[in-house]
Amino acid sequence: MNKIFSKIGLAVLLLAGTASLTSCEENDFDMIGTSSSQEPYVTSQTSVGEVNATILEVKERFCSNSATATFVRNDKNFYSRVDEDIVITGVVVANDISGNLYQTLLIRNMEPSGEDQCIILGVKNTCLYPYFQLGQRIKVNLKGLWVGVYSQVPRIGQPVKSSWDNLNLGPMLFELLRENVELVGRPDPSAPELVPINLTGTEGDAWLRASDNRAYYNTPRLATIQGSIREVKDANRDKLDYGSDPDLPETYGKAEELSPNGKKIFAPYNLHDKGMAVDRTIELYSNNSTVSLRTSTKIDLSYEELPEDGRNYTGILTYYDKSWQIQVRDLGDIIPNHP
Amino acid sequence: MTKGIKLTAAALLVASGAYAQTTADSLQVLDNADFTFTESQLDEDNDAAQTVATISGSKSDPYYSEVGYRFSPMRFRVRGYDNMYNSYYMNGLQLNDLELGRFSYGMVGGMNDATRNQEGLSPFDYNRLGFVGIGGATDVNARAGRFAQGSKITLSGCNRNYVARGMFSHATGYLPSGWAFAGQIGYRWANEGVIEGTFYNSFSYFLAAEKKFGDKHTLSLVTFGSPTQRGQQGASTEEAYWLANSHYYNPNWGYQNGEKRNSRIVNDFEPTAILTWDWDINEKTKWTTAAGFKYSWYSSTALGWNGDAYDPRPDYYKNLPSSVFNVYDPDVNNPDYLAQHPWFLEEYNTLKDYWMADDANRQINWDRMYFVNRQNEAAGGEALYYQERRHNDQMVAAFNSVLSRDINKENKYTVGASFNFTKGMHYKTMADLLGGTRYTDVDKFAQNDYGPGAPEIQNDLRNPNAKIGVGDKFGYNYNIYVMKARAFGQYQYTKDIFSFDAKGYVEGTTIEREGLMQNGRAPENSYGKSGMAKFLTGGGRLGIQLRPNNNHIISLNAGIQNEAPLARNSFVAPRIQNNFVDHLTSEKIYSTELAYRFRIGDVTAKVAGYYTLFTDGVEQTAFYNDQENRFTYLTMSGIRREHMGVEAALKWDITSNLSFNVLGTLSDARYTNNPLAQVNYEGMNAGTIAELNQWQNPVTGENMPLQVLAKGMRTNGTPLTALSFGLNYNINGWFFEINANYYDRVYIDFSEYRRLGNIVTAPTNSGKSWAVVSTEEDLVTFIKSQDVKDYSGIAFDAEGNILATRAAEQEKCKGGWMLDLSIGKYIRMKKGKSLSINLQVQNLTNNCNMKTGGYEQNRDDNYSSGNERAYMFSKNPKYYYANALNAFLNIGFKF
Repeated sequence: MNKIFSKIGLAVLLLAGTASLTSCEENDFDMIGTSSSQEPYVTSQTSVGEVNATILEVKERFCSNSATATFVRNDKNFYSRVDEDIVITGVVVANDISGNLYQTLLIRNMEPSGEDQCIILGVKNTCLYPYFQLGQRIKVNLKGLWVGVYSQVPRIGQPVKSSWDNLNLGPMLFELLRENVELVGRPDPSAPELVPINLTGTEGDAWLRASDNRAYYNTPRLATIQGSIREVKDANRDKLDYGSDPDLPETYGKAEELSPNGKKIFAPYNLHDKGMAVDRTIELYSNNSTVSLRTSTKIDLSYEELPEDGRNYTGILTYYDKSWQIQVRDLGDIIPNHP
Repeated sequence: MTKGIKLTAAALLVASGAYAQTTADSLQVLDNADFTFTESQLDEDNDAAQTVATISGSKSDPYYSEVGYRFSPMRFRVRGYDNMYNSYYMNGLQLNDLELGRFSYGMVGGMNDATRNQEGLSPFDYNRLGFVGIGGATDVNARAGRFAQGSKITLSGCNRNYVARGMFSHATGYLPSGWAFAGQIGYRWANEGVIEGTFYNSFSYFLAAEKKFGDKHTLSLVTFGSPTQRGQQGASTEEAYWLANSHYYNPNWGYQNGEKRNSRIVNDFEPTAILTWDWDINEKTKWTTAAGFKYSWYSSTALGWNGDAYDPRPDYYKNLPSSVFNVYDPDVNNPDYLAQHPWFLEEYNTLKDYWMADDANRQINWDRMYFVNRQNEAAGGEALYYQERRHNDQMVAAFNSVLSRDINKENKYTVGASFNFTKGMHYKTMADLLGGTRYTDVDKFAQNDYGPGAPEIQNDLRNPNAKIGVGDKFGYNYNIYVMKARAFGQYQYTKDIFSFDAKGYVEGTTIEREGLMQNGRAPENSYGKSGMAKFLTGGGRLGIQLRPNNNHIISLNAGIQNEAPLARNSFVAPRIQNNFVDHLTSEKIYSTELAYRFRIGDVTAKVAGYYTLFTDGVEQTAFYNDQENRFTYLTMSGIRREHMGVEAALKWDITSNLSFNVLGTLSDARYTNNPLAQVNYEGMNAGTIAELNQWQNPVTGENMPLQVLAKGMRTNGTPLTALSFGLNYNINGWFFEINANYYDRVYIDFSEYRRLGNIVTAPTNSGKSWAVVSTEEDLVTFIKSQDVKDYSGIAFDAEGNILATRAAEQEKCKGGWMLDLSIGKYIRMKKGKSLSINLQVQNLTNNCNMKTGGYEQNRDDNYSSGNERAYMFSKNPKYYYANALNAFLNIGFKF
């Protein structure tokens, strides 16, 4: 029997060693969990160069005239490759925090000279806002990137073939942030660039009506406009009688979705267009001009009820042909006129 | 790991009373778990999870005795059958999982010595167990008294899933008191397995006690378990393998604070106890009754993400260079076009260089997920990324009683009954919030579809907007109850050269789901009991054997049976709702086999041909649908499959210590119809799902029953052609074995989703996948066109009748050779001690190009606009490769 117990002892020793080894991989990380503070460096950790151009200079060179562009799809879509070290700076004044802006950052810089310009930096990734918070100053070295206009809106990015088979200036690869983009300091919520251009009131309405203002140096911009949404009063619509598009069979002929309260919402899915968004019409206070309010579908904002009263709308203001369009950054950009 | 330590400590306490054992030594290191995984997961893990479906170690059959082990590196399954058709018995009790049908080899992982006393049975063999599966059975006799007296220590080193193994076993043999004890403990470990980013940590214990009561009664109790934690390997595309410069690239892991962390970790512990009563009523009559109980914990982790969070999988298609432009389109991928559009190649090279620059770039970026979560919470949100743990726990009570009687030399019979109650408990918990602190239990995809205030977004309307912390249940929570009762009988008549077998059974099965959450997408049919689905099934087999003399045996066998569907296939969306799938019915199996075994001189051989027809089968795949961005169930019913082939084995004893053997099969296993289909998305309510299940005839506009174009598709993940040539030599205690194995016709798993009727004929596919044809010539031209080959096709006549269908071609992997070698030495020592050393080398030529299987991605190549994507999902299946050159050194010391 002693022999047996000596063998049991051996077994216990073996098991004791086993137990000590069994504290294994997975939950070591549970302990690291919340204490892990390593930042994922998605942007360049070294200088991308000294700033040597303004946003306006870049827009003048690459966005003002299709004749000099490397690739021209039409006069509203053209772009050029940047082959030299052109470094610009700006503050992130709009990002994708609500999902309403897709793969889009709006960069704005106010020069001491008074120049106040914005340009879109497209980045091929969702969820950019954790890396590019509002008020974050960045530098962008444009070498290797493409600059031009997409639907008349100046932007930095790389060409892409769209789902509609068009060759457009799309977002730059996320992986190129490591080479071309540098964060400058920490986000500054009080940066003056975050104050939108005020286009409310009759003066603002007049500015929006003036056709001369529809120029590359005025688009895109962070602005506030004032008005009320026309569709609140209109009858419910469907794809057959407004914005119908037989290329979108899944929504063709379907009635407009309403909120649980029976009210109209910003962006019912079954009204979406090719860009998976819905345009509503803001009637400015002067009542004889309008701005399109463009909202993506399938985000929380799209299910919000359309306000029945007048509001201030802040967002990225752009134009296409003769029409201005605004895209808000999130729900906080829609505030009553008279709080 | 607290749980792991507790489990180990608990096992330690149990095992401290263990006695050890000695068994007959063997050259073969017969351990399926060494070469294969076993899982209890949904289909998304199936390809990484196949066990070798074979009846291992059939002593009397030269084919079955070798085939499972020999072909295991390629995950060979006998006759292409799913593992659910193989039965596994231990001490008279069947241990197959009633929900999945399969036996989980994880239950006996690391218990090589304990399970060595096993015998393989063909489905037509007369046996004393019961009516076994059409794939045959493995019968393990692990009664304590069957182990030879003595102790054994085994130490092993290898470069496989684990790198080190230690085992200790002891057996007392029968003591004068009538007691016998046996036990084994073991440990398998790898800080990193042969696949990068995986690890292995497994303890195992086996305890057996047996007591004889007089000459007639014996009670035997065994209890065993193998608490295991391991990191998993994932399949990836050929492009990712190329970029990583390895066919063993594993996308499941990434660096966190400089250390490798695997995102998919399995925890498995299935403690089991079996009590067996053997009653030798008389010399001719035996009655064996076994009762068992199992309570298993199985979980696997996976990453989850919400909102607009970027897909964290490193091989997500948008991260791959080929997502930039269609590299398969000669109109795009040519020097002229690329020169005119230089950005395509620039972006392609940017991504290629990024992938190739650093291994961290092609792995999961944990730091990024932690950062995003923290930033999002700082902005007032909650965790966007998390790691969930999917639990599939189970409680099983089983009983089997068999009376066998040899009436005389010519007649014998066996009758018996069995019962099994299984309760499967399925839920998920929050494993890690990855730096976040807040998470609300709502379905974020439903939130996109129905809005943030809609009831559809709630995973549990009885506990809406529940705040979830680490360890909390969320998402889904349900039980599955399966009960199975069976009565069976066998009879064998033997007279001179003639032998006749008959066996049959009748079985009742009930299946029921109990929802523990009221899901907002199915508020009326998710909480509470589903009601029982009941199936009365049965079948029989007949066999005739002619034995003109002892050297020649000819047998002809045939069987017919029907089997209840598996619980795992029975509900349209088990994680969400109680509804049973439509057309749920029992599967019919018709099988026949003709075999000839002979011995001529020094040559023994077997040749067999078989044909098996399965009809009315039900299969369900569950997968994350990239196309729809939601978890999807696709159920096929009314499936018809044919399996047929030839098997052969030959052994030539050239001298007393040198032998040559040949082993092989040439088989086919294919779907022969287009089964009915039912699709269910987790994030959608009943109305939306009903729309998705509609299939409108593109010619008439009328609704048709939704089907999957599966006709002609092959069973996947096993070589349908396998050949082996081997030499064995032994001299003076040395053993040498070399085998050259050829494998071919491994098919990858086809995507049912891509072959769904309403996907094939969707407007986005117009002109490619369906056509109205008026002449035979047009029909042939269309069906043979490249588009149909790539995307499936349906030819209609002018009235909308289907004239012909063709499923998109299923990829057949390239065949090839693998060379295996084994060298061993047995040293007999004084006082009955012995030492055995065995080195086994697999894939000696380091053939790294042998695919063991894979699966197509469940996504089509077009945008909703109908235009082609840049990335071709149809050209980018995910693959698994057989292990590269690997070795297993085993040293056993008996004392």
